[in-house]
Formats: sequence, structure tokens, C-alpha cells
Amino acid sequence: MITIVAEGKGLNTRTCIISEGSYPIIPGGLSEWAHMLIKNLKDVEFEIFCIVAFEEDKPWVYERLPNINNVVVKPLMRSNNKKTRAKLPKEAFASLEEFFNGASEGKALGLENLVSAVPRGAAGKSWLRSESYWEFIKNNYQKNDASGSFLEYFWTSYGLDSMMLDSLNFVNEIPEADIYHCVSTGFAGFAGALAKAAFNKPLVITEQGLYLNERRNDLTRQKVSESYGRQLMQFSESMIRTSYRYVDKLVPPCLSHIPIETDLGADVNKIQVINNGIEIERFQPSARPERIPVIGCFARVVPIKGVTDLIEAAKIVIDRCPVEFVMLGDVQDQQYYEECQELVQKLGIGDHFKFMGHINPVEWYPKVDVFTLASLSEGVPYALLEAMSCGLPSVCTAVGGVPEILSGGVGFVVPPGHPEQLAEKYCALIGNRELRLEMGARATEKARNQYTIKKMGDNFRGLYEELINGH
Amino acid sequence: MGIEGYNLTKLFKPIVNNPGIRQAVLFIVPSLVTTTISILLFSLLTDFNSTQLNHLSITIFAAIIISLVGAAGMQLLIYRIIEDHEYFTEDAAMRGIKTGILCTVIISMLMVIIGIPYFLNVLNFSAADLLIVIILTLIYSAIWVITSAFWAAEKNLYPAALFAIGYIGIFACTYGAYKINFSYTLAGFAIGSCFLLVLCWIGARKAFGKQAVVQNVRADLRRIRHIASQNAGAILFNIIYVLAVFLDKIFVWIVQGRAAGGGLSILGPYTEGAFLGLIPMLSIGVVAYFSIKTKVLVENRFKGTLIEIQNRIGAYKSAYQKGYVTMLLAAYILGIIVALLGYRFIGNTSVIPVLVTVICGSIMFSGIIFNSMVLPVFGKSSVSVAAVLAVIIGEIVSYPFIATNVWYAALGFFIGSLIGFSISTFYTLYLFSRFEFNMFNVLVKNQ
Repeated sequence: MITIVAEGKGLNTRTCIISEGSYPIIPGGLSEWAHMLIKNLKDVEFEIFCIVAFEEDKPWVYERLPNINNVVVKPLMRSNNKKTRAKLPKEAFASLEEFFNGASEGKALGLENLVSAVPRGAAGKSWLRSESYWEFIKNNYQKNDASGSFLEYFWTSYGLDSMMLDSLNFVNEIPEADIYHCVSTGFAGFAGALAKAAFNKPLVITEQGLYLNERRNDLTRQKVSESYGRQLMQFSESMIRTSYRYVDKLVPPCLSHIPIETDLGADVNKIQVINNGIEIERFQPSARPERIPVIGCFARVVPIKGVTDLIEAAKIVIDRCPVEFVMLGDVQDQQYYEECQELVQKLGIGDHFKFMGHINPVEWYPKVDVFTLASLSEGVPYALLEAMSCGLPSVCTAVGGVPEILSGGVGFVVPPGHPEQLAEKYCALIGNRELRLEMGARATEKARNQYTIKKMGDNFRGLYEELINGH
Repeated sequence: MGIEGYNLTKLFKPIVNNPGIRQAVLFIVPSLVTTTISILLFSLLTDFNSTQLNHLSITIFAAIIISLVGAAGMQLLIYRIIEDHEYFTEDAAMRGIKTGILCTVIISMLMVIIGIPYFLNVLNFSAADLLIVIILTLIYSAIWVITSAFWAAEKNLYPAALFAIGYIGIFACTYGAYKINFSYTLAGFAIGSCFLLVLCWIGARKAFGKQAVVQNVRADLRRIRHIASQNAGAILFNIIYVLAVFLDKIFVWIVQGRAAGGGLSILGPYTEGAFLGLIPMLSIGVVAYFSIKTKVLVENRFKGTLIEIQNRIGAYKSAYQKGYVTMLLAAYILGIIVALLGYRFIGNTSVIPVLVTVICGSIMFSGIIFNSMVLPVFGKSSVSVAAVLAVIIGEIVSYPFIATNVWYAALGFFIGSLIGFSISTFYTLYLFSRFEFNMFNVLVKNQ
């Protein structure tokens, strides 16, 4: 039963947030965004359905908000148990074959037949042990990769198909709700599409980062074969296209996502940009004394944040003028962190480039003079909005919604993967205090006009209302 | 494929030119030497009356059967240790042998301890007799483990040479002691067996080198336990297989012993016919040929493109077909020779029906063993276990009828082997008909 309490003000409804590897157990920009949304929509009840890689207990890293009812954490990869050994009806095999054929070709999948064919309670993996699956995998290999290692193709296909079969179980596990809101595409979007196919309730997908870009970036770092990479990308593309097929409203946080989304089959009429918002009152500008400029990168230490590019840029700048660099964020990839540390030592800039680990950003914005991000992929970075609100000029890579946010003379953008261009912009700001202050003031103004949490909350409240009324 | 339809020239050409046949010959040589010497030795012990000869035979057979059962699982583990170095990264063979001997001795001694009341109360063994059984069990437990290490490392010349020389030593010691005083015969046999063990140990040191790493027995036992848990099916097969070979004989000895008012009565037409009837099983030497021929194919079975995998499967199937037909042919030929010689030379006509029936059973049994090499490729060691269990069941079912005619024991062995042979052959062919699928399905099931 859905009750609209008062138009645009109070919406008595239940929304299920579907996340993948993020809220509420893994910190990061996406989780921050989800937390802020829930915190701001006090009149909406939330169910949380969080998809994690494996079955394991992970503690919450966010305060449990009073409008959250239940949190269901389900693994993507499941160990062998009675449920996974459960036999699927033979009639389901044809649907599965059609389904996985589509997945291996990167197509949008039709889920209705499958949802009705998979018995409630368990989507067993018996098909993966059947001759029907064996013929399917052989045919696909011969069609796509007949000159590569068959064993590798087999395991990759099997692994991906097994994960997808496991994910069909979501349809039996997702909590009941009036609206399903996925905070990303990928498996979260796929789970949302399943919910839509099964329950015919409105589906919203917010796409902060671009899933396919992120997977591509992951792959360039991993030493995997071409065949594995190709299969993974097609599989990911298929999930994205499927979620676009079922979505009622696709909500990117910036305009720059739209052409990429429409290229992947999203209906432009279903797209609505809603800017991210921050709690402006927490991020106030402060006086910046004359000192050796400090350039701060507020990001987790993970490859996608381009930390090695930042270090190389830092080396160029440190050689030219007095400056300090600080990396402010959790180390979430130890191997990458060690790689970065080695690079810092190798370049001999250890005295001027520090890794600070987990910090409280509110305390750190006043200590920094220039905000920077060297990311290879981004959506709309929260840290950037916060820094702008605090009156910091920015030098960032032109990824995701960053160029849009930094337009209007509030910062510089350079192409990703070009440390020398980053260095050039740092030098431009380090040598010109007036420019820094001027850009910072403009940034504060832009943040307060466009990126407030209230505005974001109102926009989503309106969207939920529209979907429920229109459904 | 029928034997008639098989091109014999094509069949034998690759086998004779292949090192596999040399390996098979190396298996047959020691087997023939030991069989010949044993027959010769027993025929020369004429000073014994039937009770004394029976007592001597029980002592030797008890030690050999107990040690074989005790070592049955360990032999397989030694194969795994030597082939897979991962558990015993350095000095794999010597450390495996030592730990294997320790485990086998423990298992065998446990069996002896369980059997002590039977030895003392039913068989009326003295403490000295029991001591001889224990000593012989220890010796042969160690010998079987060392021999399996040679086989696993494909150093088959060693057991061939060592057994040929060692059995001449056993013959010399036993017969020499017998000639001094017939009551020393068992002691002579034990000294001869000791000589064989020493030879085997020296051979192992020479073949595998000195041990460079100090042995951590507890850690090695842990490793053995880990490998054992991973190979439980195959271990079970080995144990049941050894039991199946002897169970019919043990049943007959019990029944004959009861009839004679004693514990076990070994001597008689059944023992003669049943042991000679096992000679066609020497054809399982072809297994060595088959395993060498297919070793690389099996190791690389998942490598490369699908076409390469399919080509390897084709080669494997062809090797199986050739090996299987060769083994059956060899078993038939050996069976015919043994049957003809038995008919010509064995005076006791009641031996012949037993001999012929056991020969037929042995041929089938060889098929079970051959298929047990193939079934693990599909993760189906359980089928091999079921096949040898069928033999055991056949033997057990025949037990109530043995008192009326000992031939029923041979019939039980034959029918059980026939059923086991049918199970393993049909299942193997069924798996072969969808080879690729079944081979990959094992990966999926085990992941």
C-alpha cells in the first residue's frame, strides 16, 4: 500500500536500494552517495539489498539510519550446497541456453521466461553439468575463440555463467518494495532487472560510475588473456544492456554519461540527470594562509584513481618549485599501494609526497590549497564537490562528470594518463595565489547553487513520486 | 571390436617397438621367476608330511596376504607421492618409501594383532610360529612398498633384477635350511626374504639416491593422510582387489580346515588349480604399456585448442582399444597354455575344473584392472570399486556351497569377475561414447 503523504514533501513508500560491493559494508563514493540519499529522504522507508562477492560476514561501515528496515547481504558466488545442486526443470534448459547465448554476445536479455522457469527457492546449477551446456559452450568456443585455449575459455564461461545462475537466486531474495533503486548497473542493475521482471515494480538505476569503463580499467591492470577479457566485457555489456532494457528511469549524475548510455541501448526518454549533492553546511570555505602550497588528492588508493600518474606528475612539479603532495584516502589495494610507494622511493620524492591513509576530509580541506584527482574513471566525485564547497581550486582528469562540474572556471581538466599535463596545471596554480583564490570562490558558489543534498533529495523524491503515480 | 576383425600386424607392430612392452616384460619376468621358484621349492620339500607342509604354507601365505592387504593402499599413495612431487618436494621417493613402510607396517601389524586369537586358538600356532608370521609380515610389507616405488618411478629393471636374484636367494636359503634340518625351513625362508628386502633397500638407495633432508615423520604422515583422503576411491579399489584375489582361496582353506577338524587346510586341488589359474593375470603387464603410452595424453588432456584436445582423446581411445585387446589376447593365450599344461601334467583330475574356471575368471579380472586405469580420468574410481566388489560378492555367495564342492569357490570367483568385468567395461565404453563431456564434467564436479 503506497500513500503519498503530501506532494513533494512526504512520501510514505518503501524503496529497495540494490548495491554491488558498496553500501553499507564497503566505503567509497558510491556508498557515501547512497547514505546521503537515505539520510535525506527521511520520509521514505528503505530496504537494502547488498550484493557481495563471497559468503562472508562484513560489518557495517555506515551509521544505521532509522529509516532503514532490513539489510540483506547476498553473495554472488555461492558454495556448493543443496540449493545449488537442485535440479532445474529440463524445460528451463532452452531458456537458459537462449539467455546465456545472449550474455556471451553482449546482448540485452529477456528475463521473463527465465524468471518463470526458475523454481522459487533455488536456481540450481544442474544445467552447468548437463550435456546441453557442454554443447552450448563448445559451439560458443568454436564461434568466438577456436584458436585459443579451450580450458581457459571453458573456465571463464563456466565461471561467468555460474555467477549469473547464482544471481538468478536474487529474484527469490530481494525484499519486497514499491520501488527498486539500483546504485549501479552490473550485477546490481541485473538484480534490479530481475526484480522488475518478477514483480513489475518501478526500477530506477543511478549510474555514478560507468560500469563498463571500470571493468575495462580493471582488465588493463590484470594480466589476463585476450579471450578472458573479451568474454568478461561481453558479459558485463549484456548485464548493462539488460538493466537498461528493464529500467523505468536511468539517472546519471552528469550529462556526459548520456551518450555512453544511449550507445549501450538506453532509451534517451528514460534518462534524467540528477546532480549529486553534499551537505554544504559541513564544508565551509576557510582562510588559506601563505605557505608552501599543498596539493591534496582525496581518493582511495586503488588503480582506478590513477595514483601512479599523480606521483609522476608530482615528481615534475617537485623538481621545479616548493610544493607538498598528500594522498588522502584508504588503502584498498595493498599491492597497488606498495607499487605506488616503490615509485615514490624510486623517484626520490618521499619527503614531499605522503600517504595519509584514512582521514576526516572536513579536517583536511582547510590544510590543502589545491584539490586534485588523477582518476582513470569517475562518475561525479563527492570529494570534488566537497572541495569546491570548501573553496578549493581543482586540477582533475577529464573523466565522467568532472569536466561538467569544473566548467565555468572553477578548475582545470586534463586528459587521463598524462602526468606532464597534470604537472603543468599544478605549476600554473602553485605560482599564482590570486588565481587559486579566485577559482576557489567560484567553486564555492557553484557548489552551493547546484550540488546540495537538499536539491538531490527533492529530485529523487519527485522521481519516486512520479514513478509510483505513473505505475 | 571382435578379435577376428582386429588387424594383428597393426596391433603388434607399435607394441614391440614401444618401450611400453619392455616395461611389461619387466613385470612378467619377476612374476614368472617367483612363481616358478615357489612351485619348485614346494615340490622339493618332500620330507614334510601333509600337516607340516600345511603349517608351513599357512605361515607364509598369512604373512604375504596380510602384508599385501596392508600395502595395497600404500602402493597407490607411493605412486602419487613420486609422480606429484608437491607433497614431498625433496627426496620424494625415499621419504615416501620410509613413511609408506611405516604406515604399511602399522596397518599390517594391526591385522596380525586382530588375528592373534585365531592363530593361537584355531590354528594352534606356537609363540615361535607367531613370531615368524610377524617377521615375515614386516619384511613383505616393506618389500611391497619399495617395489611400488620402483614401478612409480618407472625403474622397472630394478624389481625385475632384484626379484630374480632375491628369489634365487630365498630358494637357496630355504632349501639349504631344509637340507640341514627340515624344521629350519621357515627360518631359512625368513632369512631368504630378509635377503630380498636388503636387496630392495640397496636398490632403492641406488635408484633414488641418499636422503638429503632430515625426515619429519609427523609432517610426512600428515601429507600421507592428505593424499589418502584425495585418493580414497583408488585406495579402496586396491585393497578390495587384493582381497578379491585371495578370498576364494581363504574360504576353501577354512572349509577344508573345518572338514579336517583344524583351522585352515591349504593343501589340495583347489589351491593348486586356483593359483595356477591366476597366471593369465600376468597379462595385466599390458597396463604398464598402456600407462606409458597414454601418460603424456592424460597429463595434457586439457591443454590447447578443442581440436588438439579431441585429437588427444582420439589417440587415447585408440591406445585403450589396442591395449585392451592385447591384454585380453595375452590373457587368453596364457590361459590356454596353462590349461593345456595343466591337463597334460597335473595328475589330479579334480584340479582341472578349478583351473579352467579360475582361468576364465582371471581373464575377466584382468579386464577390471585394465579399466581401473581409465575410470579415474572421468573421476569414476567408484565404478572400479563396484566392479571388484562384485568379485568379492561372487566369492561370498559361493561360500555356503564350497563344502559340497570346492569348485563352487572358483565359480563364485568367475561369476563375480564376469559381472565386475561387465560393469567396468560397459561403464567405460559408456563414458568413452561421450568422452569430452565426461572428462570436463569431472572438473566441474570437483571444483
